[in-house]
Amino acid sequence: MRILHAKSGKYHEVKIVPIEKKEWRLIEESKRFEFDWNKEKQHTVYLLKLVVEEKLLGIVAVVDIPKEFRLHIQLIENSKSNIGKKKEYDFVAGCMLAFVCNLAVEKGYDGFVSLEPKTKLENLYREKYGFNAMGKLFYSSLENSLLLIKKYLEL
Amino acid sequence: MINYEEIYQRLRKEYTDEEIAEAMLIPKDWASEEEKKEAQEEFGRLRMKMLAERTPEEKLYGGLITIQFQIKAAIEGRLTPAKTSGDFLRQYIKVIGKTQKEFAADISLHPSRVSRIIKGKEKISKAIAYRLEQHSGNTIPALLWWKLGQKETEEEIKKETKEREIERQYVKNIVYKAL
Repeated sequence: MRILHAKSGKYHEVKIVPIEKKEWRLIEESKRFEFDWNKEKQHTVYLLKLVVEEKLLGIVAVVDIPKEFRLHIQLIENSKSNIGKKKEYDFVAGCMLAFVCNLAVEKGYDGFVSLEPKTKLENLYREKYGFNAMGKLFYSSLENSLLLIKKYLEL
Repeated sequence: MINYEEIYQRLRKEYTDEEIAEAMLIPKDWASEEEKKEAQEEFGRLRMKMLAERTPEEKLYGGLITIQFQIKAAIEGRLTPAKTSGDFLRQYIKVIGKTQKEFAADISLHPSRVSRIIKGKEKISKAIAYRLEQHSGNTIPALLWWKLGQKETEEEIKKETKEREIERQYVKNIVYKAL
C-alpha cells in the first residue's frame, strides 16, 4: 500500500493497523487531529502509518454490522499536515476508505460500506469516492468498492 | 451527541469544502437521537431488501470475490479465523451451488481427489489450480491457489520435526558439519 509524497512526487509505503492501547493518549497529546478520538473507543479504530518511520498520518473508525452485511465508517481523519493545498501526502483518506472496502469484501459483505456524511458535503463524497445515497445514508457497493481498492490499494 | 458542525466551521476558516471532504469524513449532525435511529433503521431495511433482490449471478460473483480476497488475506497471514486450501475449496463448491461430485465432474477430477484436498490429505497441484482458474472464469487465479499452497508448505516446514527425523535416516553422508 503506497501514498504519494506531494513535494517529491515519490510513493511511500504505508500500513493500516489496529490502534494499540497506549496510542489513544498519544493521539490526544499530539494535537494533530481535530476530532476527539477518545469518543470512538467503542468502535474498531485503525491507524494509517508510514512503514519506515511509523509516522501516523490518518485514523479511521469502523463499526461492523454483521446482520446487515455491512461495515459502517464512523469517522475518517487525516492528520493536520495532510489537509489542503500544503498537504504532505496525497491519497491518505482514500487509502483508509479503500482499506475498509477491502475488509468488507473479505468479510463476505459484497464490499458493502456505509457512511453518514455531513449533508453539505454529501455531493463531494459522491463525486470523489463514488458513494451513493440510500435513504439518509450513503453506501459503496461491490462494483464501486472494487474500484476504490484498485485505485488506492493497488498503487 | 457530538457537535460536528463546530469542528466543520473551524476547519472551514482554513480549508475549502473539497479539501475537507478529501481529507476526512465529517458525520451528519442529526437533530436528535431519534432521527438518527430512524434513519439507520430505514437504511437497514433498504439494505436487507437489496440483499434479498440480488440475482443468482450477483450472489455467485460476490461469493467468488470473497474467496479471492480471503485467499489473498490468508497468503498475507492476516485471515482470522485461518483457513486452509481445503476449507477454501469446500467454500468454493458451496458458493457455486454444486455437489462435490458435480464439481469433480466439471473439472474432470475423481471425486475422491476432491475429497482428499478438502480433508487436507492432498495439495492443490498446478494442474488443478489451472482448472480452478478456468472453472471460476478467472475470478480466482491459479497463482492464488498456488501461493496459498506454498504458504501452507512453509508453515509445515517450520513445524515438522518428526518428518525431518524420518528423512534423516536416508542421508548416508553429511558433507559439512557446523562447529
